[in-house]
Amino acid sequence: MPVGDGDSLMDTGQSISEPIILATGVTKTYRSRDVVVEALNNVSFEVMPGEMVAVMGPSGSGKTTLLNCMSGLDSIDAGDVSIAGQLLRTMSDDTLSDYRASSMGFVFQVYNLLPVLSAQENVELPLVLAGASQKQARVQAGEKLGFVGLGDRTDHLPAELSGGQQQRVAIARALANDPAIVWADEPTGNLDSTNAGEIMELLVRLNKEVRQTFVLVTHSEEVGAVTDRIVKMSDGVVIDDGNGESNS
Amino acid sequence: MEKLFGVEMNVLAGVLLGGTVVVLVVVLLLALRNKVLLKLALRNIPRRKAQSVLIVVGLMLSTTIIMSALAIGDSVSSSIRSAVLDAVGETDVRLTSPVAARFGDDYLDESFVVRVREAVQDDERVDGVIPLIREQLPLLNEATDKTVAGTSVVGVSLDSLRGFDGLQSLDGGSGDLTGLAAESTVVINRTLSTKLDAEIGDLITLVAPSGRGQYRVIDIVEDKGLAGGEEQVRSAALFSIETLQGVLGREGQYNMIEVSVKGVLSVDEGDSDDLAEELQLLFIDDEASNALFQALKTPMVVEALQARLDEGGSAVGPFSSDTLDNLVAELDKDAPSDEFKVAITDTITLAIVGGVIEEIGDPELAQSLLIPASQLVDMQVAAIKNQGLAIAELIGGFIVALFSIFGSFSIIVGLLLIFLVFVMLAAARTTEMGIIRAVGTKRRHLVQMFAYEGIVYSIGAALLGTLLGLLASVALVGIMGGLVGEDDGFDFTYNVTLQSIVVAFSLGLVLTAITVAVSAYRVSKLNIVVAIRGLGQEFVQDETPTVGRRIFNVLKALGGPYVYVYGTWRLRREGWRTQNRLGLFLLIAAIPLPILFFVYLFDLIQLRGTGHGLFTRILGYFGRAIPFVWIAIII
Repeated sequence: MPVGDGDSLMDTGQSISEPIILATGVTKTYRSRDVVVEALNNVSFEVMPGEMVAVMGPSGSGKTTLLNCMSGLDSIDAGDVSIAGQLLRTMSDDTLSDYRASSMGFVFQVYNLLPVLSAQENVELPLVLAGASQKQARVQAGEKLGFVGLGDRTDHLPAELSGGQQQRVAIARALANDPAIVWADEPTGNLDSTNAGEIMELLVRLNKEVRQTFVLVTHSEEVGAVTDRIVKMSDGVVIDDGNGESNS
Repeated sequence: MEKLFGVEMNVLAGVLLGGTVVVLVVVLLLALRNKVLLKLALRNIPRRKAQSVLIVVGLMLSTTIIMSALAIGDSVSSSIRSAVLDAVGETDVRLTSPVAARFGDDYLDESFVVRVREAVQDDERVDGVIPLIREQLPLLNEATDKTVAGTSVVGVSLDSLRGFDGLQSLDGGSGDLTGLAAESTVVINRTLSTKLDAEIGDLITLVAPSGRGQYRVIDIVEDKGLAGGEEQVRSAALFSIETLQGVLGREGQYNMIEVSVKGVLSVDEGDSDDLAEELQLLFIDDEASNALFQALKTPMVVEALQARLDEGGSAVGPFSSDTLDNLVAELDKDAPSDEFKVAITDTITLAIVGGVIEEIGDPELAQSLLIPASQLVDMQVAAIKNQGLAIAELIGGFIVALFSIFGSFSIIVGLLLIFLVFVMLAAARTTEMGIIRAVGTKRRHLVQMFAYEGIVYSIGAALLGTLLGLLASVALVGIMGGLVGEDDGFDFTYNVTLQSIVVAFSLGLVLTAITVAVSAYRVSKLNIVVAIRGLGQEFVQDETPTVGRRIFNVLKALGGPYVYVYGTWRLRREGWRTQNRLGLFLLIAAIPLPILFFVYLFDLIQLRGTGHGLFTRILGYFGRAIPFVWIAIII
């Protein structure tokens, strides 16, 4: 399967009975001078294509680290992560970047939009990086912003948008290349309940309509409740993967 | 200035300008390919205006230093050039008596003048030949009671003034010497007029070995051409040749013949050298040159001369290495060629050959050279204008080298500042960079982004730095001009060439761009998660370096200082008589500095944040300090 093509990742005939995300024995340790923190300890779990999975657990349990390691944003010390059958550790930095640009989307708690770019340009960035022409990028970005209900805010800078609107732009950016997987780290963490509800509605709609795979890290029981499965973590270990299995 | 560190300024300016254009075009093409990255880079500039201004001010330091060093070099070079041109005026080639051949009597009779005139009468390059007497004698103005002990007293042949008529009166009109035909008249130059407080119509007294004589001042002219004085003596007085011959008891004799070559200076430099060589060949004794050729054409002498050439530096001097090289090459031939004859008549080269023979320690050989050497030439011919200009160029280059060496410390500090500015700039935008990487940007895209931003700063800094460098050099030349008093007969004037401006601007821009690229590369090596969270990169776990990497780092840390240690050791071993002391000094002191800077910068990147490798780190810092210590010792 060619890397860097989101559509192909979804349409290559990957069997729906095979996991799109597979983590086996993942270990991650942080060392800072004398302090050693074992953030992930021999974690294994899988996500099926089109699934919407919530990773939940108390603060410091390793949820975000797991998301970072599985999405290739961070390295792992031991174990393996494969996405659609491809081992992340075999990819070069450039290949991984291409992979992120075309096959993955990220939504962060604090929106993380680029402050000097307008909403439109923020969404255009991953499109251009994935090889779209400037014109194509402009059209597609406009469509995505329309999809998240911000068609009339395209030229606004992030500072000129509300928190909910910024998160919508971030979702539009994550969806820009129609990625197979969307990673969301506390997507409603900074929003009021109304906005949080709207955002979750949007994500669920995408999951149902486009069959994109969602992995959400959250504290929120409400968010967890709308997902297909909840993976529970504690002290760097998966204590319940929602399928009735644990690593502990 | 025509050369910098031995490289033609035109070539240097062309190469650097080409490099600048290439850098700008490459950046422009990359920017056009991905406008979002360009927007990301450029929109950061006006975001924090005060910070951007400070960055430009910090970046311009190196350009300012380079520009002021080059402009001062240009000013020194052009001031000396114009002093030389003033002093020699229209004279391109000077023929004098070889003192050694005449045992102290350096006067020539009319037959020499006739020979020179015959030799050049159909030569289209020549527009004048004038026989002269130049002596230094005291002059005094009894009315004002002022005396100038050493005045350049010139006896001019009034019927040979064609080609030497560039005298200029103080009122701006052309100076006229025909009045000197009248008895007891003199034309003086501005410097002498000032020193004697003499006006037109005053009577001044010439003190000669034969007695005193009074002469009326009929004109005062600028210190140029025949009235330009000499190297150390700017006061000059012009008499008719007959008057001076009478005073000195040298009827029908001269002590030099001067030849003027047509055309403006830039055109006649080659002609002057050719003409000087041709005239020199006319006055060479073939028998003497053949005797010298046979005496020198022995393997022992050739080997010793070659060894001296290899030694270089002060052993052969800045102007004689080519001549000596020619001489050694011509000794390979079966008979003395014209090239050999010209080379052996060069007085400095002949002196070097004498020194080498003396070192060989063969008294018979030394003795066999004495008579042919004294009979070698009837007249010594020198392209004096070209020689003076070459000295001007050498001194200008030396001044630039001096400023550049001292300035290189500041340039290094400036480059380090650029590096730090960009690392700090990146630190302030860590989260943004993490996001950019997370959405799929590659490392090289981050480097590009910073390069775009850096190039904009660099262009601003190079422009501003060039401008400030010019202003600084104007001030410095003013101060230097004040230190060189008018009494020294040297007018220090400001001058800067277009090549210098191009070199300073391009060098400043290219150096800044390289440093920006290095710092951008350093910045691009971030951990995405740590960056997004806005944490320091110290939270990233270091990879343990291999033994090979540790050894490489140690060698790099030692490599820089080793260059200095080796260079200094060589200087000492050869008794400070190396090929070209200045050149070697520059090689040791100047060339490795930028290289070292980047080597150490790389060290800094490699060692940064590592909890290991204390030994390597200490060596790295030690290594950074060592070059400065050695430069201090060398200076």
